[in-house]
Amino acid sequence: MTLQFDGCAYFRQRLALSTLSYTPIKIKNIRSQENAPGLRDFEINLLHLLEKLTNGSKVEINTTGTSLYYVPGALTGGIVEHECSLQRGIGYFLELVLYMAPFMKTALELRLKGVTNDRDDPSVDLIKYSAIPIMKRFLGSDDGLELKIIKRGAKPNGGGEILFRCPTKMKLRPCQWIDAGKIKRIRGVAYAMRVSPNLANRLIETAKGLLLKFLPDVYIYVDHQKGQNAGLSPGYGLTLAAETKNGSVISAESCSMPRVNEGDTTTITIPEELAKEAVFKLLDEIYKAGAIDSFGQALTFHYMALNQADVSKVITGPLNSYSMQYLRYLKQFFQIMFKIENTKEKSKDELNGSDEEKIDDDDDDDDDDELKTGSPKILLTAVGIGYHNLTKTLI
Amino acid sequence: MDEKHKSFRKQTTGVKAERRKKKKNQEENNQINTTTTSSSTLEDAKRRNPKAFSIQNPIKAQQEFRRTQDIKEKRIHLPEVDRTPLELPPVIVALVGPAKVGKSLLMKCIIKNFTRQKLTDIRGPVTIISGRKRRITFIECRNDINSMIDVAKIADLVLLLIDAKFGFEMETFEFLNIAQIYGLPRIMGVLTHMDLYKKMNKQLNKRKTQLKHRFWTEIYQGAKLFLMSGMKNGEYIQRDVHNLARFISVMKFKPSTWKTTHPFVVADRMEDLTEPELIRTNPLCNRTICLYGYVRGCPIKSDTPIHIPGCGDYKLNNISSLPDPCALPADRSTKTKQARRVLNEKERLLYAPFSGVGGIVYDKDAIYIELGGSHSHRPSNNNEKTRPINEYVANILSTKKTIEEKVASSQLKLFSDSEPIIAEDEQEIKRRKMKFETENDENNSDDEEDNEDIDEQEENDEEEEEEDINEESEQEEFGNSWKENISKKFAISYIPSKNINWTKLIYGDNNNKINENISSKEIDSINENRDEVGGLFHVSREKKIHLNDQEDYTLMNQNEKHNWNLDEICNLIRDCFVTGKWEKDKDAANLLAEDDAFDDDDNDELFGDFEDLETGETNKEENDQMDYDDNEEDDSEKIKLENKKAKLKSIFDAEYDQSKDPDSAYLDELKKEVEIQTKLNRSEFENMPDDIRVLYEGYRPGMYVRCELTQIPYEFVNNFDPRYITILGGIPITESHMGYVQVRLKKHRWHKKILKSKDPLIISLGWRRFQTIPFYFIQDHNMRHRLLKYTPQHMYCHAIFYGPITPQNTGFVAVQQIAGKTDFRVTATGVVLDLDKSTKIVKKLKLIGTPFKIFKKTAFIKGMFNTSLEVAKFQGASIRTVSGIRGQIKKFVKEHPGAFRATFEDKILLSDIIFLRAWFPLQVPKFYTPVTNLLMPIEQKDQWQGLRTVGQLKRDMNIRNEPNIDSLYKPIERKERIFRPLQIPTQLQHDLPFHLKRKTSESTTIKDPIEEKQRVAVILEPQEKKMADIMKMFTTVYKDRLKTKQRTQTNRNNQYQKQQKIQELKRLQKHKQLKKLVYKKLGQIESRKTKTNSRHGKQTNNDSIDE
Repeated sequence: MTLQFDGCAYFRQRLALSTLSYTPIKIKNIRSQENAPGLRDFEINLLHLLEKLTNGSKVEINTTGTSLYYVPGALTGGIVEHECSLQRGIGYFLELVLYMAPFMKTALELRLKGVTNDRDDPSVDLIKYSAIPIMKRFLGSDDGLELKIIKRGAKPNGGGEILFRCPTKMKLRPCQWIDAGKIKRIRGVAYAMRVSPNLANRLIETAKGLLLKFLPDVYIYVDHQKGQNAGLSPGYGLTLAAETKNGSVISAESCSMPRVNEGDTTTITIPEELAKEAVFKLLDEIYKAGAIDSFGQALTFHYMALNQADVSKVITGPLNSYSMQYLRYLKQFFQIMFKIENTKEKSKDELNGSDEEKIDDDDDDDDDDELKTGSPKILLTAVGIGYHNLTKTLI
Repeated sequence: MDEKHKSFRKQTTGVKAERRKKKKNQEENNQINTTTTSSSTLEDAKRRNPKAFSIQNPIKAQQEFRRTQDIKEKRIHLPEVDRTPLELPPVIVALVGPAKVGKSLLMKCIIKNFTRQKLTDIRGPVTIISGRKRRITFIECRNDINSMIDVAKIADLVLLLIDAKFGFEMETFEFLNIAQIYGLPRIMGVLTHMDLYKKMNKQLNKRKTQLKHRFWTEIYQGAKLFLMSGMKNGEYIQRDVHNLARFISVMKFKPSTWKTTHPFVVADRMEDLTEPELIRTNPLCNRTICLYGYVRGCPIKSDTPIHIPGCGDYKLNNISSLPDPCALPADRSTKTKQARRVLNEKERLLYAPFSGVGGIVYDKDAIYIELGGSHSHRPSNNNEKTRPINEYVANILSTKKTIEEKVASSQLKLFSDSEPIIAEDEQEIKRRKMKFETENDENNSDDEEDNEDIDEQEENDEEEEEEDINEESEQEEFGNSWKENISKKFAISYIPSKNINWTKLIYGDNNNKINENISSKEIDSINENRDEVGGLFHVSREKKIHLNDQEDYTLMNQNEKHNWNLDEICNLIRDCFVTGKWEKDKDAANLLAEDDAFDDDDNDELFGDFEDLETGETNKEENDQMDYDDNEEDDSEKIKLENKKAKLKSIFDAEYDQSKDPDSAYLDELKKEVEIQTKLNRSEFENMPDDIRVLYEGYRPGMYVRCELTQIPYEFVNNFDPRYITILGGIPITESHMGYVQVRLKKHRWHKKILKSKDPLIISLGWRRFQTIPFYFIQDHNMRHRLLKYTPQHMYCHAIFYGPITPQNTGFVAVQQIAGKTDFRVTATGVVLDLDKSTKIVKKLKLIGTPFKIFKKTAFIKGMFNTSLEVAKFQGASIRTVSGIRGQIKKFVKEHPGAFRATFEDKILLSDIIFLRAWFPLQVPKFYTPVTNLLMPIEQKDQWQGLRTVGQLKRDMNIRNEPNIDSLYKPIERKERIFRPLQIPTQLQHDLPFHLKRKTSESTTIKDPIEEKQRVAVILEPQEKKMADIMKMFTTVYKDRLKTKQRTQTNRNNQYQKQQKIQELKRLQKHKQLKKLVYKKLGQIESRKTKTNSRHGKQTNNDSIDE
């Protein structure tokens, strides 16, 4: 039953699915071609976190660290504290936990310490904006679901801390999420730690200036941390989230470069530019997103697959390579295939049935008739595998 | 007597008459004034007499309310999504009963009743068509516990046969108890052997009622019980059978949760696919087999783990659907209703491949004669292309892959452009193995060929489609080239062209190739971009990272930089915002207009034409309508009207549903949700072709499938007996691993012995039957899992064992032994509570020590531990003496190894024993072995013997343990205990109140009874004796003297007292005389005074007072 993989790519996806399907995995040739072969510190750290969350899991790593054998245990949850590696943001670790959190034995209360905001991994703010509404849909309520940022910490030295709470569920609810809805408001948070609070205000000013052209309802909070809560390194950034009428959230973010050396001049240090980047990223997400943004894709597919044996549907923009790989892994681990359709065609077909004039209009590139809602959307349909929480205790 | 009474005349005058008149007048006035008086009377009464209308007994009222609410709530069931397919698999009807009760005969009779065919020897399941919409699979249950367990898991309806002459047998009750665990199927009793009683006998009737009532208590009051009243020509009477068949064909079923969440196939055909060459060279090699049957339960997917009860766990290598051998007749809607309900002879199909007698096989509506073994007639098979043996051999030599794997791969490579020849070859092999060389099968094979052709065609089609797509995209590029450019410029990740085939991109056949292409491109682009961005990743590395070693980032390329142009973007996404344009059906303006129209119409319907009197305007319906007509076309108006009607209907429905029960709003909503989900589940893949639909949904229940399994032990094939049913139980991937299963367990009340921890037990849980070693325990109030040596007699306890992970709330049944006849084999039943990878079970451990030195409340204790290290580990632990004096371990001492100092709450005795209560965690042995009864030789299939218990082993091998002598019971000898007399301090005795004081004064020289007993007789020396004699003499003399002295003293005392008394008497006499004299004198004076008083009147009186 053991599944075999090569290389370190999609490490978290493999671990999450292995744990949830109780299938042992073997990963070989991890960075075997590189100068520094083997698993990195943050990957080892991730495995440690997984060991804390599970009972009876077994990890075997060879001496060079290029091959890994992982036998999953039962997810226990409870109160867990973990010091994350500073090489990656907390988002890297938290994302893995999101996949498994509803299927624990006892409700999870996880404290993660490390880098809350950085440029490469989704920041905690982004996860809070994007993932929590998705989880809420599939869990049925947000009772006991919480993501709290206690301290912030930027890249080189970290020092941030978050608290993530998630209830356990016997099974998830199927979800039909086929109408994204129009964006009704834009919210965001501009954070600054160990820098002048003025920077946050400058971020907001620029971002609002750009966003108000689209929508009047824009509000960006300032989160300027002081003292202990500001972590150990300076940094600032902006996370934006567009909320639609149907409750889906599209989010994007931008964060300052970490300070490496004193004389290092990095490209983005000016808050105005950073804010502009964040805004355009958000607009790009809006262009690409359907009911979920690109961060939420894999997570949504995951919950759709690990659902009751009912049909779930979701509409998205083009899939990113991460979620595409996730779909492949879902098939490999759970034998589940998603039905993927292009919605535009479908709607065209429907229109064909009703009246033909409109299509002519479309072909004529008449801007008035076609709605400008970004990229072509695709509709994903799946029948859940009837996943059950097998660790929860009955009394 | 018939004297007429004078009628009563109302008085017309007087007070009463006036009052009446007044009342009458008032009523008349009221009637004129208001009509509401009658309704207000109740309120009036309530106001006047509030007590009469208030709750009399609040507590009683509360209880009543609660009860009604309870009943109301109990009636409600949680609505569940109905996941059953439209075309159901055949219903499984199992015939269960002890031996020699008439199961086979009844089955034959029922089948004959349905199909008009007479089967001589029935083996394995028989599928028939019983009606337009129902198929039935009959299964005869063997009379052994394994078969009964398997049948109880799969049966929808059980015909429980009871020998009326003999009465209920143990097997019947065993089966009922087993069936209850897995969700009781429908059960109908059938009484046979009634003909052994004389007809219309009183005894018979009595017997019938007796059996009926016992049956009812076991199932439910009023459960159906059929009578097979007699035999005719060696068969049951047709009327009886017909009645029974009628009931079977109209019965409704509700499958258990287990069955709705787990797929299974009851095999009704088995083929051995192993290479004959392999078998020839190694007859004991593992086999590849094919099992056929209907999918039941829930959809099954290929590659799912399956368990064959009685054989073991396997993986479903390949599954494919076959044309239904027993398909339901097509609906002939053109004919009349009457004709449609009845099956004609051709439609009465029968399918029972196992039931061949001497080469005769029943298949569909014909009988086929089999010629020898399945492989014997391959060369003569004209339809199939025979392949040279060379190729065969070459194949075997060249590849280590088994054919099954190839078959699987061919399945996977449905869309590939890889060589299609392989798939064809597979098909050929499959066909060669077909057993039945008949017309029908030819048809089948033809069908398969056709399918292949279709597949190929489809592939071709797809290719063509691809090309088409490419063309289309090209065209589009040509048309919308500017747009494409913009999107390319704008989008961060690559934007696919409109008609990208995502399914192919993701699941496409040559997954890896496509992936590599895409991902490597992506990576390249990322790398380039990184170079552009710079800064973050300065690690110098090769230009090309290996595909498998790319870093794990969720948002791969979020840090790219682009030239943003706000206006372009704005143009592309402006309708994503509420400020943008809306769809036609959601546009606020449109909706408003529609609503207005709707409201207007509503108003019109309500009021029709009316004239506003105030303004003088006339509102005419026609005008409005006319306006509409002018504006819109007829069709659109029709649609609008329909929409309006639908809207109204939905509103009405909602209102109606709500008004039924105002409290059930939540439930209604839930029901609606479930209904929507059910509809969606049904409709989503409805119009898809089956071969694609199967990929998304799996093989639906009701499909006839061929399941290929590899690595089956040869015993399964060699010892195959179709009378023992073979189930392929599908298991979700999450349940296909082992762990510790915690269950709530109760010993069956009819099982005679209690169960012992660590004794092996055969448990049937989920699909599996296995032997394992359970530990029994009980959960203490602090959630501690305390080990029990034995199960309680009549109480639930918990048990934990190593076994397959099965969802919580699944029931299980335990049996101690399969082989051999015991009293009542169902040992225990229970339900799964928890699943984990470790155990928390503990055993109580008492460490014992003895004090060797005691100071006040401190004591030094030894014998509890062996080393000071052990003591150090237990520092601070609480200890206790037998009498309950509590203490604490302080620190080790060096005097004895393992001795320690401890303090207690009171002084302990040297004779005390000190306990340390501890809990020792136990390891549950990882023992799990499936019951492989299907692998046993045919005669021994019910003789499976697993691990024996220690007791059994000892009994079998005649071993008796020598007991520990200390543990033996010996007569107890106890010394009589003598207590010291109670000593009360003199002071205390003095202070005691009288009633507590000692009444009898004891001699001061109380001898100590203990000392007395322990005194030793002394033999004196002569010298000493002389001295002693002299001393004795002296003492006697002294005593005598003392006596005389005392006597004289008492005499003297007496005399003295006498004298004293005399003197006292004299003194008293004197005193008396004196008194007498004085009183005499006084009396005289008094008398004189009274005389003078009488003379002088008041004056003297006063004087006397003065005196």
